[in-house]
Parts: sequence; structure tokens; C-alpha cells
Amino acid sequence: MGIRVQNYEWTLRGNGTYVATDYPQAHIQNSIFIGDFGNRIEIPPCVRETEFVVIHQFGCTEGVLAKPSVTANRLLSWKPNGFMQIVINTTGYYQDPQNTFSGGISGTAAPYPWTITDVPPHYELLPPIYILPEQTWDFRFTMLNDLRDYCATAGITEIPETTILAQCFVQYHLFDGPDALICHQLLEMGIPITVDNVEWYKRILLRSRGLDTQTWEYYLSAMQAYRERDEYHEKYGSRTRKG
Amino acid sequence: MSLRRQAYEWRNIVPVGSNVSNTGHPILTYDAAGAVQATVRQIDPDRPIDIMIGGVGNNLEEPAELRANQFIVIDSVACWPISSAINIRIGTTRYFQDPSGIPSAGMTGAAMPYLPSDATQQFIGHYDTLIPPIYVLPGQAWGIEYTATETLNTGSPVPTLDSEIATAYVRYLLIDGADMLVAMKLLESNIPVSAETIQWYKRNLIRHSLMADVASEESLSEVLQDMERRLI
Repeated sequence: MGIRVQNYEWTLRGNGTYVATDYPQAHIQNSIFIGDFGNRIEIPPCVRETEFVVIHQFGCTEGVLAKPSVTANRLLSWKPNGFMQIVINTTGYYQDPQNTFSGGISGTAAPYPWTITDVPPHYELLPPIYILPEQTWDFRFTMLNDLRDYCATAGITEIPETTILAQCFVQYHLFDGPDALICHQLLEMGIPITVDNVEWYKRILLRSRGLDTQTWEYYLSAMQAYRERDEYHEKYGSRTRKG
Repeated sequence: MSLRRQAYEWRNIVPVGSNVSNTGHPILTYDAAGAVQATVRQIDPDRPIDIMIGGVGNNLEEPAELRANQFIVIDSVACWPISSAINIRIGTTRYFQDPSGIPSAGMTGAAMPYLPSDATQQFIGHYDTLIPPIYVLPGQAWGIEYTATETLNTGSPVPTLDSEIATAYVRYLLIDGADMLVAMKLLESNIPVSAETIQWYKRNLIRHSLMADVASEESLSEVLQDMERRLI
């Protein structure tokens, strides 16, 4: 299984009897993978030596105002007013126009879940993000509606498990084994890494049938072949680089 | 990370008693009844507000200005409600103007809506992306101006719906480092600057370098061919 499309969904649900420390503080970034809240994994995401990751889509719960719904001191619904930031090793992907680390993209710009009444999201992750071997990556979720403060003010005693407080979603392509090596070759040649391009490169590797593929000539012919293929796609409008 | 897709969002909602949040989007608190302890500020018509340093809503501490190694391509703007408009300012020049050549309020929210989740009408809008996109070059200052075409939020009320909050959104490609040099090269050659053309240019650079290497290898072989061999 060299190329796999992967999904990760993070959900923050109620935890029964209300305890403030069960829920994130407002304006504090929390990892959706290894944070203290919601579902989590045990090991932080790290791309192994034989892997290559391309992140191409994500989103989180939309909405600004919390619009809490309470029955008998039980909190039944809540909107988080959330933002998502991507961190690779120690670098934040999103920065604001004054060049400082920002909260990231809001759920209004990149909503999840996306219902049939929604117009297409405003934010698209183009170009996608490549995570190279040995790099760690993370998605940090920030909630700007102060849940803890509200629960204390309104005397909330319970948040049932059926109450979804926030959700995040990440979709990425995982290339491993020989396909990860092909990703590196494409990267060296400046060719976008998509499923379509990796499959195409494998086809031309198979055609070379054991010839030396480490020479300049081979690189050159591969790049020229890509160029011709790209021109063909543009001319005839078939599958594009975006694949 | 030399090519990054960035977005900036402005919302006209601030904690009660203030006009602006200079540290980005504010934390919103709620009373026991679930009402937000924040207000949407009244916006008078035909008075442009800079969404980054205009003194209303979430703001930055300093104006947006590109560093010497940065280049941005603005390819989408949107705003809400539909009785508002958005204009892009580069230096002191406004991008949108009316047919008489005078800077206008800009693209309206009806043409490029930034829909809140609880909007009663689902506006699709005429545009998704700006074609051609707008380039902001290294060292240039830029900003986005939001103008209401009628008075919004009269009396600065407490909002109960997302659709009562005026918003603006800008999406852009941030190009920095070596890719900025490629972007400037493309600009000099009058080739559109986008993530795809930058990658295309880099591929060509690599290909030409390979061709040069192959050629030099071949010419070296030719030179060596005629030389007398000797035993070491």
C-alpha cells in the first residue's frame, strides 16, 4: 500500500459531570493529536524515513457566537469559534500580515462538517503542504469562545457525551516505501507531488527497465517527458497536475 | 516554507466597552443567559475602515508591509453583509474604481459574500477568485478597506446571530525566500505569478542546469579524447 489517503477527525465531546479542567481554555492552542482534550493518539505525528506526507485539506466547526443551549443545567450545544494552525517541527504555517504567528484559519473559512446548504469553503490549501521524513507535524486548535467561563457563570453541572463542542478534520496523502522515494525524486525535479504524478513517474521508471536512472540524462529525459505530459494535459484538458 | 497559502479574517465584534482588539480576535465570554458579552460596533456608511489597523474589530499592532524577501499574490477577497464593500489598497492606491476613474467602495458583499453559518439566504456570489490576481511587491505596504453602504449595527448592539457581525476576508499566497526571487523573475518576464508558474520556472531552472551539465560532460569527453594518455 504505497499511496494511501488518510483522514483524522478530532472531536471534543462532553464528559458527563462538569469539571472545568476537562475542557480547553479559551485562546490557548491545543494539539488535536496529542493534546489533553478530546480523542488523541499516543505518539506525535512524525514522518518516518520511508514515508512522505502531503496535507491537502482540513477544517473545523464553523460559527462565531457560541449560541449555548441549556436544559436543567446541562449544556446541550455550543459553537467553539475555532481556528486551526499547522505546525511543522517548530514553525507555524500561518502568520498574520504583520508576520507574527497567528491562530490560523477559522471554521468559517474552512468549515467541517460541510453540509449541503454550505457554499464551497473560502479557504483551500493550495499549494498543499509537504512533510518530509524525520519532520514532526501538528494541527493546533484554538477556541475563542470561553467555555469554562460560561459554565461557571451559568452553573452548568453536566455536559453530556452527546454534546459535540468542537470538531476538526485533516486529510492527507501518505506515501510510503518506494513511493516515498519517488516523491523525493519528484521534489528534486520540482514536479508537484500528487498521486497522479507519482503514478506517472512509476510508469516511466518501469519503461526504463533496469537502465541507470541516476544519470543526468535520465533526469533530463524525465523532466522533458513531464513537460510534454503537462502540455498535453493543458491542450486537451484531461487530468491535470492537481490530479 | 517558501510558498504558503495565507488568509486574514476581520470581524466587527469586540468586548463590551471597547472598539478594537489589538491582539487579534478577542476571547468571547457569555452571561448566564447565553448572551455574548460583546458588541458589534456601529459602522457609518461610506467611511472606509482599514481591517488591519482601522481601530474597529480585531486589528494588528502594525500595518501590513512586505519585507524585502516577501511577495504576495492576493487572489480572493470577500465581505459580509451584502450591504458592504471591500477595496484593496497598495501604498496609497485603491484597486477598485468606478467608471469615472474615482476610487470606489470596491467589490460588494453581494458579489463576493463571506457567508456566515446562519445566513438565511445562501448567496453564491459572482466571483470566487480575483482574475488577474493582485501582486504586492517587496517593501510595499498594503491594506484592505471595508466600507458599509448603509449604517450597520445602529447603536452598537449585542449580536445574537453570526449574520449580524460584519466580516471581511482576504486570501493570499505568501512567497518568500528564494521563491520570491523566482516571482520577481516571472514578473520581469510578464509571466503570471502563481504557485504553479513558480514551480514551472524552478523545473526549467533544474532542466537547464542539467542540460548544461550534460553538455559540459560531453565537451569534456571530447577534449579528453584527443589527449595523449600517460601512465601514472
